[in-house]
Amino acid sequence: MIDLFGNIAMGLGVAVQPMNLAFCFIGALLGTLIGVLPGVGPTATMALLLPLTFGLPTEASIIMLAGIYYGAQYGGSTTAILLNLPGETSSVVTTLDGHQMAKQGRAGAALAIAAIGSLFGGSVATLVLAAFGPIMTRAALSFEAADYFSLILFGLLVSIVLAHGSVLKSVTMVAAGIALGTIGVDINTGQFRFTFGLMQLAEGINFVPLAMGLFGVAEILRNLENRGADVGTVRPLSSLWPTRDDMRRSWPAVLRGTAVGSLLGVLPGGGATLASFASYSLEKKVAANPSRFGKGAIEGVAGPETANNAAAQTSFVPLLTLGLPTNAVMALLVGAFIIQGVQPGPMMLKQQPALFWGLISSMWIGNLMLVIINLPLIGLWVKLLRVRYEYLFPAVLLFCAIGAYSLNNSGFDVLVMVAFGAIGYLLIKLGCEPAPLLLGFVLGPMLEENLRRALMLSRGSLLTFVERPISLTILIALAVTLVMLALPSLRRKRDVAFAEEES
Amino acid sequence: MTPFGIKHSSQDIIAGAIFLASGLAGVFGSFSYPMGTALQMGPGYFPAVVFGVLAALGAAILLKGLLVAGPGITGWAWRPFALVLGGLVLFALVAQTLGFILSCMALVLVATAAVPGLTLRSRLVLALVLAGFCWVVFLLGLGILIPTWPDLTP
Repeated sequence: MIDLFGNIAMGLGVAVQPMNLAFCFIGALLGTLIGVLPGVGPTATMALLLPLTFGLPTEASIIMLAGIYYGAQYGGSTTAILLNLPGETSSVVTTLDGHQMAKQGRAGAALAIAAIGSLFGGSVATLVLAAFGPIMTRAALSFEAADYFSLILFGLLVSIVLAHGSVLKSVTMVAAGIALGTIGVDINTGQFRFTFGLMQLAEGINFVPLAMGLFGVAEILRNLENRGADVGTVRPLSSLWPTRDDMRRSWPAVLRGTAVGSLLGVLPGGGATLASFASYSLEKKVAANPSRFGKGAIEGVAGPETANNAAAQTSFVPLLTLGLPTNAVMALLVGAFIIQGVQPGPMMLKQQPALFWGLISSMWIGNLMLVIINLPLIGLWVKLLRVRYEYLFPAVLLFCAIGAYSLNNSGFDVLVMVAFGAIGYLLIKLGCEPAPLLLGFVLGPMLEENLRRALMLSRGSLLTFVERPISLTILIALAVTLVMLALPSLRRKRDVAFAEEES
Repeated sequence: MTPFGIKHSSQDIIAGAIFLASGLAGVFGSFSYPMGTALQMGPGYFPAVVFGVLAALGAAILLKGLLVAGPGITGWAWRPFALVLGGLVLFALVAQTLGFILSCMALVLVATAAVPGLTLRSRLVLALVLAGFCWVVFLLGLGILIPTWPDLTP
């Protein structure tokens, strides 16, 4: 314990140096900004800024890039709540209840709770990272391909609980997402799959235009359909602050979100996205009245927003202790470390303790800055809502078009976005939720990779998934969830029957 | 009353048919790649399984749609659909040749034609303001590589 406080004190000493403080602020502000702008993600921004870090000291550059990452988690939720546009996969679930709250004129409360939850989750997760990093690393080290496979399967199941439509259609959407994820070069053999001769599809469909099409463009089409009734725009706010009732409902969700986020963030592959999805379904499960979810339940904002921020912090664990990037952003950070001549991994803690603990402490300071930057700015985001939808939707469309175009500086990604806009609109018409499709798409390639590796290790025996204790535990949890899933589905069927009798 | 004389859901029938068809097409496509074995999977193995599952689920939805009453499909907004997506396609095609400002304005002008109440004058002003704002943010701020104006030198 003395060690821990000594280390944190040393880290704080590094983080509060004026230069590092300044770059932490720049990172957090920039992160929020690009998170708010739909279509400009942290990956693109960090890639653009990477060359600029050549001239900076090691600590300052890493602290700034990390700030962009967790700042964007935060900013992404702002657009998710106000415009129903998730800036990041991790804020997809925030749209479900956050945007509903905004439509009811409670955007202020949703944004404030997201800020408070993020600060709390981020702070606690930073402590977790500092205290349990080494222990959690040992646990993560013992994960093998079979365990990952079971874990990803579990993550996909969570997304079915999340959808509020028919379970059958949700499962189908997950399958469709995984199927879309198989497009591109097969990693093991180099075979081109379903690319139809298009070189642009060699690395698969890009996540960004797919998500912007399914959620951004399709939503615009749906909103333009019923003009007159002012859908899409949000009622003016009555209050910026959560009510006492909001706070009472939120704090247990924040605590649970912190726990879920800290835990899932460490696991490679899952990270912030899986954490927010898992937290949402947990809140839905423990709620006394689950039917409130999807209609503006504040727990549905508080839990996932806390969880994704907590997970954004703890996802640094595999990177800092194993040198293993768990997502695209972490891979970019590896690049930034290498530019500075530092090899991330087990030796970093010993060789560069000031950098290691300075980065961890800066995350706490950065989270505090996020709240200080954002609570006054909520007023500014809210002003966006007074804008009529006729003026708002061309702006959103333009951001999406430019964002998609700038990914590879080609029109191809814009066309991909158009295609998924059309598909998304069709899915809305067919009563299918796009969120499970997105998760299937993201986790599908990892599922295939781990399945193939696990079966290679076990010489083709499927028994490996129940023989390994970690995998078996996850599969049992999965089976239990399936049973629980069957119950609300029964209830839903009964509801449908009742509805028919009434009409 | 209904084409099948029994309760059905046109939403589920169409959704099921689409998933069944794309699943079958995917399975067919997967078999054009080497399959391999469970021990040493070829590139076609996993997609074949996934598309197979998709086709089976599609068949289940189709069947449910034929037997169980449910919601039908409500009106498809063709005008916004064509204009919004058309504007985006136009942007994708002309961005490099017409330059940033004109392409942005073209997208906004085409897309806003989907809104009946807007005058041409206000659409032009909106297009100009948005293009200018985006130029500041994306070209000046983030350094995106699209030329500002069309290249007029022969």
